[in-house]
Amino acid sequence: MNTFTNVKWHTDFEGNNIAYKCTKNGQPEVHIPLEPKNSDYINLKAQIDAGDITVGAADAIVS
Amino acid sequence: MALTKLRPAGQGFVNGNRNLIINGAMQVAQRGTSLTGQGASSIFLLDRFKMNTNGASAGRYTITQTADGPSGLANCLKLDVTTADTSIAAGERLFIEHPFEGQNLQSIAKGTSDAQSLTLSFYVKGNASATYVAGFYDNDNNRQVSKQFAVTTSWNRITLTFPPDTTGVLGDDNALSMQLRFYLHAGSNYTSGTISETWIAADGTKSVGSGTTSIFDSTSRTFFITGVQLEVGETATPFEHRSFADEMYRCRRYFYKSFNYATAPENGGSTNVSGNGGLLGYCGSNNSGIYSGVLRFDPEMRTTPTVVIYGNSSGYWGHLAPTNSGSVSFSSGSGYMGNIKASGVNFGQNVSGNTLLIGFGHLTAEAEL
Repeated sequence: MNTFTNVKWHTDFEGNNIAYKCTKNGQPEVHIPLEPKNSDYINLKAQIDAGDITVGAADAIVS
Repeated sequence: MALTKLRPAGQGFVNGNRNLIINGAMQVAQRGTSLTGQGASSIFLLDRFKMNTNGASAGRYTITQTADGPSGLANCLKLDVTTADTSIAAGERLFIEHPFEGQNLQSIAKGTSDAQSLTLSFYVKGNASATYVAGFYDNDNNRQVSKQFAVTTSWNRITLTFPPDTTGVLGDDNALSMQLRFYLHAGSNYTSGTISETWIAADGTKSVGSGTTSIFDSTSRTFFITGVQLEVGETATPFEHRSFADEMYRCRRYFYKSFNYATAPENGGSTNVSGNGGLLGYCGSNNSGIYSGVLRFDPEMRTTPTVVIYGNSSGYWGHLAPTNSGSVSFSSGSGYMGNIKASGVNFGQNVSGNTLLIGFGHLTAEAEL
């Protein structure tokens, strides 16, 4: 089981959610795409759906 | 002039491209060549060979790509136990896994009346005699088959032929359809039944069976494996050697890094982010809405990958104003990932200030099964 912490949405410059940004097993700056065939997405989504992980708001786009 | 009758492929000749395993000679190790203290979670070191654990065991090991092998094979995957676990709980399990996409296994015709046998061959040795198990798990249909094999202190080539399975068609797509597994440690949930050498519906108790060794029974335990080959049919042919470049290309469908091959991905690095070669970069003003950096994956990856940014000790990319005199700054908005696709990624800038900026750093992309 992978450990995901500090999970936030990651958006493009138009503000669309395109990935989860998180720390995975201690590794920071991990971008997990919203892709059902990505094994990290499958693992993380299961923990989100189970209520074990809450997804935070995306970091603001600097203007 | 006498005519020579041509024989169909496979009759009397040893053809190329017959090994279904990628990196069977343990040549490619993009993530590095050694990891210590492993066992709590599943990890890759050598490409395509995953150490799969449910993390329940207290046993720990070091995994290395080691310059040792039988004649003609220069490298192997070596496991060296550093913490023993002789109190094995029922649910504990550790195995080496080689996962397959279904579209790469269509030739075995699994689940049809034309289903083919599979012959697995590999070289192994250890610090002492031991008995482990190799087998397959059909992820599409939840079916399994396994066989025991013996390890001695000398390199031996093991050949195991698995019968055809006329039940359970494998998906013709890029998803995980089957795993080759080398079971090295298992609790009673996996050993209490009789090992099944014919394909059956998934039954954990029959996947390993009794009389097998736990690699965690002593800190003296070592396990070496290389020359892994999987062929359609009932005959093991000599190991099919491929060039390093060939294997590397195949591996990059699942894992890519911008670092030089010999540099393991890491933050900071010995001489900061710019010191590790293969640097990615872009140029743009803050929040311009433009992703001026681009990296195309070759080959295209299996699916949209997980992208990890590598930079300073926090993983941030560097950026500076292009005056050739300013110092490099590192912040989380540098190397902002915009588009992540199986074919490549775009990145740009999300850093305070409107100065024209140059950004640079590294990344890895992982699309493992």
